[in-house]
Amino acid sequence: MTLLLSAWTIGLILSLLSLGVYISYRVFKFADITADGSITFGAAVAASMLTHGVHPVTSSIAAFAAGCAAGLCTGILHTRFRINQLLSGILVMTALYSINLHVMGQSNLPLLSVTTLTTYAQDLGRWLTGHDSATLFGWPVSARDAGSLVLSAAIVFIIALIAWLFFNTNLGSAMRASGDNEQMIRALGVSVENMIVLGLCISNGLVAFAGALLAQYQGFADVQMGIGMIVWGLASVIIGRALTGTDSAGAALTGTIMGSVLFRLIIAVALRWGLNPNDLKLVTAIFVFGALVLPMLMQKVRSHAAAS
Amino acid sequence: MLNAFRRVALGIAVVAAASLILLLSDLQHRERAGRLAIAKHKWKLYFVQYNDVIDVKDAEAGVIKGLHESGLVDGRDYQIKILNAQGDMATVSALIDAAVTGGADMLITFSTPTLQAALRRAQNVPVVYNYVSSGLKAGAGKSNTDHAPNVTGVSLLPANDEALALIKANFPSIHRLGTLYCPAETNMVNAKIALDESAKRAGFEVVYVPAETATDVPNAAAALMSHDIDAVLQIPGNLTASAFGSIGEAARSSHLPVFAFQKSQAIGGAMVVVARDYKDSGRHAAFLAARIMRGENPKKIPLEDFAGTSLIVNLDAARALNITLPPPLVRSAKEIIGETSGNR
Repeated sequence: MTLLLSAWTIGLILSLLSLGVYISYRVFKFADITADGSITFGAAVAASMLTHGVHPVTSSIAAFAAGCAAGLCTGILHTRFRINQLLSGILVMTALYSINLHVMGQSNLPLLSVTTLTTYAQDLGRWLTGHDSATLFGWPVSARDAGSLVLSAAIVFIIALIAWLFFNTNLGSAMRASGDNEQMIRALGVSVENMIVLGLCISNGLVAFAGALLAQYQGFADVQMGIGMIVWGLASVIIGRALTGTDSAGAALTGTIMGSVLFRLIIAVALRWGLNPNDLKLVTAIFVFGALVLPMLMQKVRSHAAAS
Repeated sequence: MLNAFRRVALGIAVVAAASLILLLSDLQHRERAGRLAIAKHKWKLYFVQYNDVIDVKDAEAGVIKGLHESGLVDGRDYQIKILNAQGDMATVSALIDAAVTGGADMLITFSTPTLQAALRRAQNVPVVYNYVSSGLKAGAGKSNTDHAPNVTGVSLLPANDEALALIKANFPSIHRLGTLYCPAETNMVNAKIALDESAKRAGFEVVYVPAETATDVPNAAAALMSHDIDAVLQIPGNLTASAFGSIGEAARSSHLPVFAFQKSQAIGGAMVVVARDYKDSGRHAAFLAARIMRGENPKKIPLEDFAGTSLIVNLDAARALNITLPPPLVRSAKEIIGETSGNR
């Protein structure tokens, strides 16, 4: 049960990263590699503030703002200086590496003895279970695990709801249209460049927020924690698309969250089944490949069946 | 619209199925929760590692050796399972959870992130750490005796004072040393801070050049050699261990001797190595693990700073630089690499 709750909790936390990647990659078709740096940036800002006694909520919001600033830089590099998408992301990600070291003052900050959102989650879990631990269908469940899952689910639900409401406003619709049909949206007098900058701000803000939550959940921030995160974010978005199969905002957001949770569940199952550690990345790559190919194969089978 | 709902429902069903598979895989844990009091005959030891590099493998070999030296027999007294996050930080917590739900009787962590994740997520399982430069800085406790009740372990900082004393006594012309370090590696940063303090006390000046990736190392090494240093004193770390060949090559080209702290670097061309390496500290961590397996409470086992050293000299490396190592130094070496003619 611990493994299940933990996989769900990390999946939900990283679904914020996936939502960020969804905005940059699916809305703007912008492979924004800044995410690798901004997730650590969020963790670094939150961890640094927490160790200085700042409230966890304030620290997490500051992490979101820091991520927005990183996205703003990438957006400006791309739209104002005409630097290639990939390169502008690489530049900001590279710069963030040094900035993160400066923010933390060292390469790793432990958060085990400071009050974090996990502390509140544990209190919430105690309130829910009545004790430090409880038994659910025979499985032992700790108050912290239960509380962390409930809190992260609540946070993700609220953020996904805000994102869905935003995508249904005029501004949100214009943002989605900027990615879908640039010429049309220009003809309507909307600045595509400004939309990209705004989109990257929100995207990296969400990614950094995910970093802040992950650091508080795991109990430390580390300068290397962002390595490869963009790949997992992209994988979750692709899996989410394969699950829901539609491009409507609500379904896409739901699919992205489900994709992230499913991805972490698969990793947890692989670990629980005693997978050779050397094969971990191969298995995840095969899983993402399957998510990419299966919908296409199913479509072909359906078409074939309909034709015959 | 209906189609979208159907697809979302299908997605939810897939996630639910994956959750069910995971839950069923965990049935063992559910059954075990009811019979915790049963005495253990064979310990399930989980080695939890963050990445897969030479030093981790050295530490792992050290732990296995230490368990053997403690009189414990693999298969009879314990069984080992190795989990490795392959450098993915988000997987570290899942590894700890997989170990705990897999019925781990003890976690042996390798690296700072895995120790920190164990501190957060495995509070009811004994944890023995190694391959960590400072357990206290990682959050394992306030002091070596006031620490998390389920945790003990061995920290390792390089034998800076010993190495600097050796250089001062045997190579009096060396005043300015240089080293590469990776700012992202906690162990290296702590080693750098410690070397800085030791060098100030011993009257040495040290030049530090950062390198972030293995591909940076050749350039960083060349930059280090251009800083007018008298010798290289390479602090230990993942990056410099795997890319030591580039450092050794740059030093050879500049006719500079290399002093180091890891045995593997003596084989790789360092002239003198004051080894206090991960294999030895891993061995020592295994002694602590053996004490827990024999009934001691980890709370009562103080955290340790590993202090043992062994001297290794590489005569071939010295000869290539036309340096004759002082005979007393060679005689005091625990291990000699290369032809001894003309040096003993």
